[in-house]
Amino acid sequence: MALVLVADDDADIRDLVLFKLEQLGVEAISVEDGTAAIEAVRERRPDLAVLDISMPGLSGIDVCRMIRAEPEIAQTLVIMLTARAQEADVEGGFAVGADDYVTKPFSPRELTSRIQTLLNRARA
Amino acid sequence: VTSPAPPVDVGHLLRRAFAALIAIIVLSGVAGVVTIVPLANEINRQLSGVLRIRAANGQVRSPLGDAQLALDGYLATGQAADLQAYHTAVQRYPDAIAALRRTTVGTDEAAQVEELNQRVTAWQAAADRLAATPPGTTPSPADVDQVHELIQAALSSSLAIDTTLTTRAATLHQSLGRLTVLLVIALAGLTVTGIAVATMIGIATTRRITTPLGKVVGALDELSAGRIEARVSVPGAPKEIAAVAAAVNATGVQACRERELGFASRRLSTAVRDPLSAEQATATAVRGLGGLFAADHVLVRPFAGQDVIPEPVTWSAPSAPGDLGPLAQTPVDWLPPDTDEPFVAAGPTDGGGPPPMPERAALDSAQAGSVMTLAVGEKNECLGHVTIIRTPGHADWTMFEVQVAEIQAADLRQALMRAKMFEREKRVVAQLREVDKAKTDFLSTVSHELRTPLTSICGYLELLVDEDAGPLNSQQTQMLQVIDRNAARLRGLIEDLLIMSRMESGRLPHGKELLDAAELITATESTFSPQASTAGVTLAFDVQGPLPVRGDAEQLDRVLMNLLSNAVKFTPRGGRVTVNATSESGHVVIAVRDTGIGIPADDVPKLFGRFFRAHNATDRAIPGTGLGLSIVAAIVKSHGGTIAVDSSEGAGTTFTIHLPVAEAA
Repeated sequence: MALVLVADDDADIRDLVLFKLEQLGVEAISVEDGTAAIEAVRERRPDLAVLDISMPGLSGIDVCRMIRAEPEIAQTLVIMLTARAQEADVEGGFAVGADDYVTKPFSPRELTSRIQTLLNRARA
Repeated sequence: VTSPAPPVDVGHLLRRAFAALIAIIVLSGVAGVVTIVPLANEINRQLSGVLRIRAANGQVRSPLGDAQLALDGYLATGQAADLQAYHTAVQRYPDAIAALRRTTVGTDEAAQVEELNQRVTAWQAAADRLAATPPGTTPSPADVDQVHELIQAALSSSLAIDTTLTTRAATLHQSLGRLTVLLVIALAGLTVTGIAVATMIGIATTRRITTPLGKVVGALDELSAGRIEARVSVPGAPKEIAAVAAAVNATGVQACRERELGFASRRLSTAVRDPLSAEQATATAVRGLGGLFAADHVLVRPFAGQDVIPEPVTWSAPSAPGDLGPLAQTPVDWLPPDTDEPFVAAGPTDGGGPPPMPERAALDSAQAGSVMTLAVGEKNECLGHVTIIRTPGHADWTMFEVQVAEIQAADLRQALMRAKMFEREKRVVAQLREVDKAKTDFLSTVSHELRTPLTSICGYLELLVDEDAGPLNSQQTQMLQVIDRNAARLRGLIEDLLIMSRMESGRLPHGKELLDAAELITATESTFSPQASTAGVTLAFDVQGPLPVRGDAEQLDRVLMNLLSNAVKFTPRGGRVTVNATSESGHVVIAVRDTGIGIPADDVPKLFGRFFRAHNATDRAIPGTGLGLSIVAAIVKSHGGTIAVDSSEGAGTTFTIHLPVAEAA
């Protein structure tokens, strides 16, 4: 079974995504900042990480960059969450190797469908 | 080449011409008198000689006639008285002939007189013989005839003398006549010559006056017509005209100098007004004024209390004597700040009026000759003073130079005020930039802060609506739809605000790809059809594709979405929304027409302003942010297009967009 990491400093959003993923039968864990996120990726080796760009400490961008820099975890899929649908953020996300991005406010339906798409593609 | 005659004056020329005329008249008179009078005298003398001879000749014939008459009487009558008369007459003859001889001495008639006397002598011998015949005796007729023949011969001689004299007198008269004719001819010749000479002198004199005068007048005409390079050269002209010509040339030279000064002044004005900093403008001004007026020192001193000129600015010619330091430190408190009159002087201690002592002493240190000090500023705002100094031995200020300096002072003032305003503007712009950045940051932060809670609201709402948390009854579903609709409005508002702020800061991404507007328009049909049918509004499309435009698909789509959602939103049930699109003379023309509530005429001009909402929309509580149309207008403008609105309240509204047709790549 696939493992998904959700990193967001907003607990409501973390719970929302976890709820939706669990409903779909996807195992999910969540953390509330960037430092915890990179540690969780190293320890738990999730298949996919949903990273909020603006988090206290390390940002989603920083975490993504670190993931791509470490060979053991570099293959982890990354979806960025951004509240600022600005070109700079999106480009920044793709520049550090994110696989997709979703703009807040997002539809939980859309996010989980994108997660599943990426996971299916990786499995295939 | 003849060297020009030394200059003379006009009076001298005229006097010379008059003197020549008078001399010719006098000379011709004298010449006539001198030549004619002796000749006439000689002729008269000869004529009177002729008259005397003729008289004496007559006196000779008288005793001869008397004697012959008396002799004939005696011979006829034998009277003693006749004989006595004969003798008396004969005795008169010697005196008469002596007198005739005297008058004819040395003349052509002298020989004739001697011939006459011989004939008289012959007659007298024969007559005396007859007279000696006693009374009563009849002399022989032969003797009497002989005596008659002899007396006739004698008288003929005398008459011959008369004839000769008559001829001579006639000759003399002729001579006199010829002389008179000659005199008339000579006088006429002299007169003609005199007139010719006088005319020549007149012409020459006139030429020497009018020709150079004409040149001077020509040069003056040129000067007054603005051709100030005109100069006049009058070699050999009279002194007065040469003086006028020199004055005219000096005027031309001065005009040229003033024109050059005017040109240079204009160039300096441009240079002074060009820089946007007060320091640069002042430095350019002092350097430029130094060159412009060939001055030795120029300085600008700040006026107390102003903040445009921070400190004195000086300039000195490379080899200029004197020290400008003390003057730079002396405030110009003696020239009234509200005066328009510059201080102009031939020296620092000129006259005893201004400037006061400290200024004079400082001017002495600068070795000032001619000084000009002008206020920089207007009546109620003096910025400082510019002082231009020439050291002694240089020219004084001309009126024109003072005027030019005044213009330069005014230009400097203008440049300084502009620099001041520019500084102020720069500060304001910097402040505005900060404010704008703060606003953008604020909007960005707020939108982020709003989006996060909205994510939770919308996300959980979706879970509920999707019945992920269990089934809902119809009332709950209706309530959740109200929440969903308002959450969507909130999302739309945040979205519009963000786009607005990005557009204003110029950070809205703007593609330039080749698009078919027809496709964009057609794509909106599926988006709005459900909405329109729900609202009971007929939606009709008439699109004459393809319609190539160059631009950003997302933004153009936003334009169409905004206009269509407005049209549907403001059209009551049963109404109609029509979208026409075609290309027309280089433009893609898109018209969105509705049969809605329309826009009040007063509101139309403000329609594209931010946060503006027509009052009939607010009156009816139709939701909206007032940002949509201002975003539409900004996007259309950034695509090089125009948007126009035509509306009548209660009848409907048409928005027409013109976009440039894209050239095929």
